[in-house]
Amino acid sequence: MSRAIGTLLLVTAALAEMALAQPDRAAYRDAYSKWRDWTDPNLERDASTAGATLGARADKVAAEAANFYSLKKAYLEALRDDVEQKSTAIEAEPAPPEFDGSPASYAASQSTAISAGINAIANDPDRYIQQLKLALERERTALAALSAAVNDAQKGRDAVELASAGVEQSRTKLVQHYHAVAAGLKQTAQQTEQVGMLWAGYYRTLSDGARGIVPQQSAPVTSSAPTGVPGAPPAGGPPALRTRSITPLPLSRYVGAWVYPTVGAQYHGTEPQFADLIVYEEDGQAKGTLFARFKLPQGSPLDPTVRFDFEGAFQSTRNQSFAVTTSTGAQGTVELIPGPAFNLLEVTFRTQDRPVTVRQGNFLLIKK
Amino acid sequence: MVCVWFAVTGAAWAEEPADALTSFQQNAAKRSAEWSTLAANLEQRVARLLPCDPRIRSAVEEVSRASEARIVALTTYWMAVSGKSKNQMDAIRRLMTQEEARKDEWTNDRIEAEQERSAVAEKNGFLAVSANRLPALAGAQQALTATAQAMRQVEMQIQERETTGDQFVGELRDLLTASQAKQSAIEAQLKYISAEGTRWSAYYAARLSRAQTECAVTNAGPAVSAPRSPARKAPATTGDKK
Repeated sequence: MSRAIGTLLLVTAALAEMALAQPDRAAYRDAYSKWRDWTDPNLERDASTAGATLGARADKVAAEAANFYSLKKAYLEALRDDVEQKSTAIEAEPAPPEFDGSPASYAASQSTAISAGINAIANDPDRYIQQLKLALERERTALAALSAAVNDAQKGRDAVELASAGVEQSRTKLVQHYHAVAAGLKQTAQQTEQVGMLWAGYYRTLSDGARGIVPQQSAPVTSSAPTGVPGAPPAGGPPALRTRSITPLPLSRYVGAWVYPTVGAQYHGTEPQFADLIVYEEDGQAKGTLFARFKLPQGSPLDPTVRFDFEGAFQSTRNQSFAVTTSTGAQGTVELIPGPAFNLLEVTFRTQDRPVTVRQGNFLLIKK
Repeated sequence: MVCVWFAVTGAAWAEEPADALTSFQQNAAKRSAEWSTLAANLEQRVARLLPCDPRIRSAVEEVSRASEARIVALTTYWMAVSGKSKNQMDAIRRLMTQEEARKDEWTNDRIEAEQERSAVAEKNGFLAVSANRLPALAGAQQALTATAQAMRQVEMQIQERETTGDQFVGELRDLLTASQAKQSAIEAQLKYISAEGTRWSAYYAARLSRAQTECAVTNAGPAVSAPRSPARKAPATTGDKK
């Protein structure tokens, strides 16, 4: 027997073993050490004095940071896969089936018939008939023992079924926990990637700052055109403040592809089903397109789809407002409002389109 | 019995191990159904025969063999269930070992995150001093603050995972306890099935003995010989009812 069962068990065990290998974190730890300990621990300390030379140093550190976050993200994703795999390591085991045959009822009916036979010949004095009675009594005794054994087996099967239900309950709880942890790891991997991007932005800003270039959210606008020679080392005192952007916030806060998030969405008024916004910049001019579909009450006569183009000059204001032309030729305005994080953009629009269309909306988009 | 045993396992042998349990289950169901049909019809079949008709012995032996085949199939099935359950427990134990180790990993994650936060705070301190000298670094300060906030979000998730690390081990322990209870029930069931098999053999031996007695009584011959095992061939009784 036991070759078939043995093979079954060996293969199952081997698969379980394979499924339980864990990802290695040595690579990202090594990358972290390189970034933090070996690359340039004095970068921030030297930021006010190093000038343009800081750029090269910052680039090197930024590369190590990017490597670390890339490896960390890969590790977290591998860990998530590992956790997902573990959730399948303990398979569901169905409760044992009830096999056909009803041996208990068979034994009971036979016992009844035998007892009736015994009663029928109980008082017959014939010695051969008494021999037959003895044979029937032996059969009845065997049936009584059999009935007890059959009942034990039935109770045993029921006990296994009950125990299986307990196992399944515990297993389900565990699997759900694994799924929850896997989902958390996925989120952490995504946020780790974002943190990596923030570090890249930080090193860029640090490099700019060391050369006296200021992003406008941290200093007042002094000029829309750069002054001095970018990258020149500071001479004497602090370098003059310069800006790269037309807008007080970096153009990247407005320009790019933006989407309505499926999780954590925020809106006022009519709720969008989806929204896609693309904004380009060319010579200080914005050009963009919004395409959205809104969730309307059932039976609403309104057209849920909104599509319009807009364009205009970027202004030196935080909020950017542009003239809109809808797909039906109607006019309106759209306002782009940088959100609370670098990758969030609030959009408000109003049009004078036909009354059967959605003519205003307000929602928060996330950068693609 | 041994032949039946190998016939049962041999059929499943050629199949994929994953399907073996299903195959054993199907075989047990088939053998149970076969026995049930034969057993239900036994008394009806022999009632029409004369007491010393050799077909009575054949009929009883046929049902007895079907009963043995059923018990063998059930035993095979339950042994496979037992083996799978044991494998499952081994997998749970391995997971427990790994989750125990992972608890340390979650803790390491948290410590790493705290160290990263502390390193960022240190950078922020140096940067603040530099920004006092060079105001253009204010943007970098803001960027670093935003980065630190994002890292804090990640750190909170790590802390949460560390907290649930203990839960994993607890849940696995619960699962192991439940699986051990199930394994005990399976092993008890194997004993019950074995006992049932013995009882069926004893019953069919008694049934055959009664058939021999009925024949002997009908012939009014000498004392009835001792019952033989129903699986073995016994000489057919002769004679007609008088």
